[in-house]
Amino acid sequence: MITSAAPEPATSVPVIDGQAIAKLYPGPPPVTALHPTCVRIHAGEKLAILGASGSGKSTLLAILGTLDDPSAGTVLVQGQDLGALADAQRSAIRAATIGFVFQQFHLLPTVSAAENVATGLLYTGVPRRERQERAVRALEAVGLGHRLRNRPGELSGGEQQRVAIARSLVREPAVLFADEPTGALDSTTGESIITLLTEIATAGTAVVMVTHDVELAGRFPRRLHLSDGRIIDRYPAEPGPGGRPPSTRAEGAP
Amino acid sequence: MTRAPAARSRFRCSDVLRTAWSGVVSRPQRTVLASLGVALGIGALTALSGAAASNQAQLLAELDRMGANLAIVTATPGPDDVPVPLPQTAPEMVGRVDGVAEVGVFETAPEDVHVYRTDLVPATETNGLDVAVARPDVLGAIEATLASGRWFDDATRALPVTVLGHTAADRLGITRPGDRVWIGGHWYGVIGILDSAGLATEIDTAAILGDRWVRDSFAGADIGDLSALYVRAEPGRIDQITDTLPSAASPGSPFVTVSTLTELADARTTADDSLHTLGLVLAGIALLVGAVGIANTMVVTVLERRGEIGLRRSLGARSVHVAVQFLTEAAILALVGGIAGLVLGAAAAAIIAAVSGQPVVIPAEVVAVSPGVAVLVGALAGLAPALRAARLSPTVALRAA
Repeated sequence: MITSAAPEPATSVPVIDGQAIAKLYPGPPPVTALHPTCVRIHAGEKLAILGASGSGKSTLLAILGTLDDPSAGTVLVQGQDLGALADAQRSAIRAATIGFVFQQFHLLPTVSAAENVATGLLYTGVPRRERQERAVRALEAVGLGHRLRNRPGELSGGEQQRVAIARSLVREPAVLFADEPTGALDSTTGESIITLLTEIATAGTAVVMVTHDVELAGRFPRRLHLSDGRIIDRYPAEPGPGGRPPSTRAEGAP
Repeated sequence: MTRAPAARSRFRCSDVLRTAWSGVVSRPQRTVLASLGVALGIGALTALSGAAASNQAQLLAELDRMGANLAIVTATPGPDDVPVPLPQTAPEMVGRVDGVAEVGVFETAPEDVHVYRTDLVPATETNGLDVAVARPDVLGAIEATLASGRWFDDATRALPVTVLGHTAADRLGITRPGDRVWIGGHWYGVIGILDSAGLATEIDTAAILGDRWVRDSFAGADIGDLSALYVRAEPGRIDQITDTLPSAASPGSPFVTVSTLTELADARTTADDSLHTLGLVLAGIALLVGAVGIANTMVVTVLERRGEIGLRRSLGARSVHVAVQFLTEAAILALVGGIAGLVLGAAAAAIIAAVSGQPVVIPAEVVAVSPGVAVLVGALAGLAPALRAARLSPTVALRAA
């Protein structure tokens, strides 16, 4: 693999630019979770990362989402090189730019939905009153204006995931990473969550969803297929490194 | 984007407290169990130091009754071997010394005056009894008690009446006030008989006369001179006042002796120290147990809440923010326990003291210091788990939950 030298068709600075990022867990035995990979995410994009368990898709998401450091390569967030920044600045960028939605929702069980959403702004320096006001607006935006005072235990799974999405949206992030957002939900509820995510992307926030469900991934116009830590398929076809054809399946993959 | 990213992510102080407090109140059962240890520790500290202080207050009061807080100021013989009398202003000056509680004044007794049962007893049969001259304030200062009758008051101090020491009354065969005795050629009515002579044991074998009567009725160069001042200090201040007493009693004069019951005063200091140490050691052990309890709870908490830690990191919390949150939570747990312990311990000390009939004393420094000690214990106990939480990689934390 070589770093991408070819210019992307997009004119603006990508929200997230992963350049030849790789993840190696030093053993023994050493495990390569992600081979050098380039991924660019632009504003308002809808990207699905598809792959089976252990394919490296969650690793890729953690690195692109600045939760994990790559063993090699560089991640630029809105043009800023994360490798050059201290924890304080990285955390600030995460707080201001990036939202996460998880399979298990990760809501705080002991506080209300509104308080959970307000937690999304806890580390941004926004005063408490404003946090609460924005939390109410974010919950209304995901259709939970009537559930402000309920605790997560009193909400259905779909509602809990909506609260989690509102917690990300309340920060007005440039990009939202969703790791198997429908994994804990039934198919109908999952559908509505996917619909919500695509609406969010249409409003301008890039949405990156990790899933093992080919059908769900099909709802997203751009898709990456990972297997054994490599991108084996890109849709739509993108010019690969060095301008080669997009399919990298031939490249010595087992 | 409506807002440029802050240079550093922030976690306001009020938000730290609110977040940590929410962690404490949202798990009431865990809070009770975790803070129980510190509650017991602080409770033990308070109860023990309260009980020790009550016990000590009683013991010290006992020692003081025995004279540990007594200083006797007497005139010293001058260069001509004649005692230089204390100035008449001495009692007032001594009374003004900071730390002096009471002053009792003995005046010089007339020479060659003795007490007899009747005027028929030969003058040589003195029975070993003396005559003493006292002001009314003596009774309280020497803590003497009356077996029967009365002590001198402003009226009787100027009358031909006497109060007999216990032994003196025995030897004279006087059993109750109302009888007469023969002193210095006059009849004196007995108005009271002492039970105990308190700290001035020599008056046990004396007939005591009122100071005004003696000044008015006896002639002699040294009548009305002050022979001794019995000075009682406020509790614990005897050492402090002994140094000031000579100059207060007789400014500028070297002919003043101040004597104290040094051994009792020393015993008082020792009792003070040993009880204190015992209480501190026991409370220290209890607090250590409390700290282990909190540390244990926090370790479990951090394990249980890895998902929350990962989430907070994903929301932009720095690792130091996570550490501060859990450290504060541990400190609040301990503070809750400390305040509960303070209340329970004080109640226990009060009950113990009340049951054993001692004065209830809760040392103010314990009340003032306990909350701080509790917070410190909690912070120390929570330090290792909090750092562990901070070191947790966000992805690992999220995956584990």
